[in-house]
Amino acid sequence: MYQYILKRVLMMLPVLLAVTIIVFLIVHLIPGDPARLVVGEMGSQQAYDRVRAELGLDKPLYIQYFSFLDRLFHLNLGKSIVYREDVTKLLAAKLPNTLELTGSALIFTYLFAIPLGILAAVKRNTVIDYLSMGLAIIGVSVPSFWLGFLLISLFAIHLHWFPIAGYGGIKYLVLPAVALGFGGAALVARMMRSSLLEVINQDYTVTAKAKGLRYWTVITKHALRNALIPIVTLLGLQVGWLVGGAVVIEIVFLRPGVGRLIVKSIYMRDFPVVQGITLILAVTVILGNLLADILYAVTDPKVRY
Amino acid sequence: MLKFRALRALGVVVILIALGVVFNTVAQGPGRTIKEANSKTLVIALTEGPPTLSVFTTAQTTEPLEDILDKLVSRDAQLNYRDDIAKSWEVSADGLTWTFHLKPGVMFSDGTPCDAAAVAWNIIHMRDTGASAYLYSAVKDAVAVDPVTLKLILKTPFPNMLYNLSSSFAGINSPTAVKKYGKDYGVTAVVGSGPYIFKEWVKGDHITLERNPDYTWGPSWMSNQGPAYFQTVIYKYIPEAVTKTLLLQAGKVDIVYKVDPTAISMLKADQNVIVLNSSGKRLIYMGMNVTKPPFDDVRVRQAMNYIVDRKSITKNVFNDAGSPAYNYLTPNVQPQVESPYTYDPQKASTLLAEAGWTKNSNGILEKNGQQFAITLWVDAITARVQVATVLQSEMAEVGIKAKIQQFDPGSYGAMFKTGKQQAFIRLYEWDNMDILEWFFNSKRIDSGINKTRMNNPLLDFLFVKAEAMPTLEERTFVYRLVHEYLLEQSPWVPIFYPALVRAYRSDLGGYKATLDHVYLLDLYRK
Amino acid sequence: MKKHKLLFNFFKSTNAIIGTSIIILFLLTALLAPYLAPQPPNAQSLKNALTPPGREYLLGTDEFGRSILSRIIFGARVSLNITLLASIVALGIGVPLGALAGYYGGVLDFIVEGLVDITWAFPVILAALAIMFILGTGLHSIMIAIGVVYWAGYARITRGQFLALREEEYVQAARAVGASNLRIIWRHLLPNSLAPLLVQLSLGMGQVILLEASLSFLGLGAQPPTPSWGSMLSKGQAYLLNASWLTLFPGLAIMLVVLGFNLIGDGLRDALDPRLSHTRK
Repeated sequence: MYQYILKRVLMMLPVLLAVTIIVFLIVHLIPGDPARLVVGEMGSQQAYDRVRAELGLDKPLYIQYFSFLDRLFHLNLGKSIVYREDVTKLLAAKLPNTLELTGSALIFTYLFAIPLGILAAVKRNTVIDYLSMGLAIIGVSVPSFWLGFLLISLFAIHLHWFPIAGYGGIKYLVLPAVALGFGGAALVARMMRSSLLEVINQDYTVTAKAKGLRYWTVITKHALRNALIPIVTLLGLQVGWLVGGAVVIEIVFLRPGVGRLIVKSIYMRDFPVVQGITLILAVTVILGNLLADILYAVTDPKVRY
Repeated sequence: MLKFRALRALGVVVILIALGVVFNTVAQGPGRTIKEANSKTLVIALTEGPPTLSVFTTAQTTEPLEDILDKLVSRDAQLNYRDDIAKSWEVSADGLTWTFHLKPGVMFSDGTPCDAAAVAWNIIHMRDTGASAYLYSAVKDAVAVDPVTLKLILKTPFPNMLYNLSSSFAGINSPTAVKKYGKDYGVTAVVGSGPYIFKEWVKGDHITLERNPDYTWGPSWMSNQGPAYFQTVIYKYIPEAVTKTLLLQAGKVDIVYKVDPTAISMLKADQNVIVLNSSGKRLIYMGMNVTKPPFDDVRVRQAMNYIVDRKSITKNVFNDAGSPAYNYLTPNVQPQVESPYTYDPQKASTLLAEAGWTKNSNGILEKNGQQFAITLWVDAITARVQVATVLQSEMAEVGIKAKIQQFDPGSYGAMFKTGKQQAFIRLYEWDNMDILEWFFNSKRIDSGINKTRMNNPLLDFLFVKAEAMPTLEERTFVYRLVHEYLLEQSPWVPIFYPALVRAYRSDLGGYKATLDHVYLLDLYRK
Repeated sequence: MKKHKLLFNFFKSTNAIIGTSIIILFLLTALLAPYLAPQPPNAQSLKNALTPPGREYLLGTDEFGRSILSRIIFGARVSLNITLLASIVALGIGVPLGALAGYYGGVLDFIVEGLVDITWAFPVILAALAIMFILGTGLHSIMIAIGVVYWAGYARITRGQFLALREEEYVQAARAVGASNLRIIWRHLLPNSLAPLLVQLSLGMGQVILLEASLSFLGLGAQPPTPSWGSMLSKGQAYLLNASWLTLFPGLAIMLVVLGFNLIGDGLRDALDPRLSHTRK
């Protein structure tokens, strides 16, 4: 088993290396010159040359890459060109906002979807089932930012229940969380319904029912617990999806989070910020997968090495 | 398999949460006395933060600098040159020596004197290494005769000197501080002799200034020459128009620079807010590459000037927040000349026909079997894309096929070095006649600044002449010739002057502003 | 599985029939756009700008006075183009790589798996955005960007199928009689991998439309005046306060077509997997 873990870790290394190369190169492939953006179109050549040198952009690409790697080994993501601030510090300031948004979206997803899925399963092949599953499949078909527009139009502009956009407190969080979480909620509800149905039809549920347990007890005590397992597996997919979705939702609702920071940084050619954030995202996903693989190997003796 | 995926999910979540924890822990009209008592904190909303506050590093507007740094000369709202730290000045008869008499006792906030030697150091430092080196390209030497007398010795006469000295980039920094902070100057510190002192810069969010209590050398055109009334001034960066508007209405912001056109009517209806509309110093235009067909023909370029319905664009695209543009300089800038162009598609067709372009059976203009098909470049900024879209349909009406190509703003500027442009939408922001030299001198073709690639010996000759004219009148005279000649050559289609719209809370008194800046010296809360 | 059985299963489901109808409607709209549109899609009429939905303009007009209905109808062409070409790019990269990895295994498999891991390490929207910035704005860039970020799904599926199928008896038999690798892949493995690929393709086409909308929303969409639904949404955002029809109808169009693809995908999956269909139905 240790051999397997070692193999997985060794296999991860080239992937990680490739990710650093891609992250490093991608910003250099994008046309546009951060030094020119700092100095301004009317700025003098001398100032431009000086800024380029300060940013290290005057050196050959491979040297820039090695110093990028060198910084990474020291857990240093560099300094933002636009904000003149450590990327880590910048992230620290914006990440809580994004976690707050994705967290509430996740909560909304499950609070909304699980009851809906149960309802649909329990009342299967009734109008309630059709309606809720109709809602669910529409949910996965809607662009999240458009849903954001609709929510803003209805609940902010017409009904004045929530602010149009902005940041601060629960009031500002409701609409974006719903817009972001809705697509996921639809997926979870469908998943919940089908896995619950599968469980309900299985022997032990039938047995429990035969033993004279009340219907809802069977559902809550037995079926639900087993049906939740595949739902939890969805969580992993959800997290990745939410991070991507947050980019767009933060822009619609003008929330100062990581998503908006990275899009703005691409526009401003703020290389270190773009590199830093993408790298963290990518490494998180890769390490998460590795961790899962290892845990799986440790806990499940059936895994073949 | 299911379990496996669950664990994978768990892994991702655990790491995300761990990251969250780590980052969270890293993160975290009355008298002076009454005016001062009422005026605690002033909040000014700007759209975007500067990359640095060092004028030596950036030639982009760096808003709070006007409050932190004094200049040698100031320019009032009527665009007259007035005193700042120079009390008065005179020019020698040959126009080659300028003598400035400085106000005595002016001090930088780091305790060093802001005297003639300090000013001279700033000028030479900017000329040799600064981002706005052009400001002093005419300066041969700057000599501090004594602490309050500065002599500028020029290579050629340069009557535009006062404009440059009063520019936002001509602020005077403490040489001691510039040397001390090195490349961090403008980021962690910026030291001047202005009415406010740089206190804190939360990047991407706000800059805080504190009042300079020792300030006693305000320009004479302000009512107050002593310390400002507001104790603290916060420049807050709010990119979104909606947020800015709402915060102003809620009283959380006192002044908004550049109000978004869509918010104007809403703010005008608010009695707690005063909206001020002035003509600004920006021009949106369509440029044409004069070296490439079909725009290498002057008649075609002139025709373009007749097909644009500027009044309709002003009304429909910009909600009348500005005025239609017919010539190359912004409204307050001399020399204004009468433009021959109006909205006249008929005339355009005639000119195009003279140039050999006739409509084929599909209604598309054709010449020697070649269709009139062009690419129109534009940066992906909503209003400008809208302008491009309108132009495209106006061109279609006379039989021109235009394809729009959008660029993201970060790479747009560099595209012009390639010389591949045919027609392009641009905006410039400037308020001096020398902008014509900047955009049309043939020496700036390769750097992509002369985007029309105008390479005209007559123009180049006139530019050299104009920049060396001994008096402002003569300089203006030459630039008038340039301006008229350019209108005839028609490398641009001027389209629209966006207005400069600012808004402030009506409980503020002493509001005084120029095109560049809202002056804080007289400002107080009623 | 027999083909007619599959079709039978597929059309047994109401959802699949609804989905198919939507997509047929979408295809017809795209095909017949010039005959269906009441006004030319790019004809400006500034004096009619921002007209609310009414008799003359059924779905209202945009900021240039262009008919929203006509633009949505012509937008179907743009969406169809993007969906087809982006899917072809994704399939074109994913299927061959997945096939190589699954069939030959070893180092090839290791490399392809690594590439899939790398691709999936980046959030889809950011990866597509970065590629768009490199390639510049425009429809072609969108297609390539979307194709490049979605290839990995097809590769994984193909690889999995090949891995499972290559040990099957009929494949071994073909090998024994000396069939070339290419022939085995082409005649035996690929046709038997088609079904899951089809499910993925159908669901993926919906994703392509959604991603195009997001990219357009971030300001990198089709060049004006091309009536892409995504850029109609993005341009309409500025008028959310006073002219919500600019965003309402293109959004509905997107939703409907994505819904159609999703319903078909669901129907296909259920038809292919009878184990699930009894619980789902």
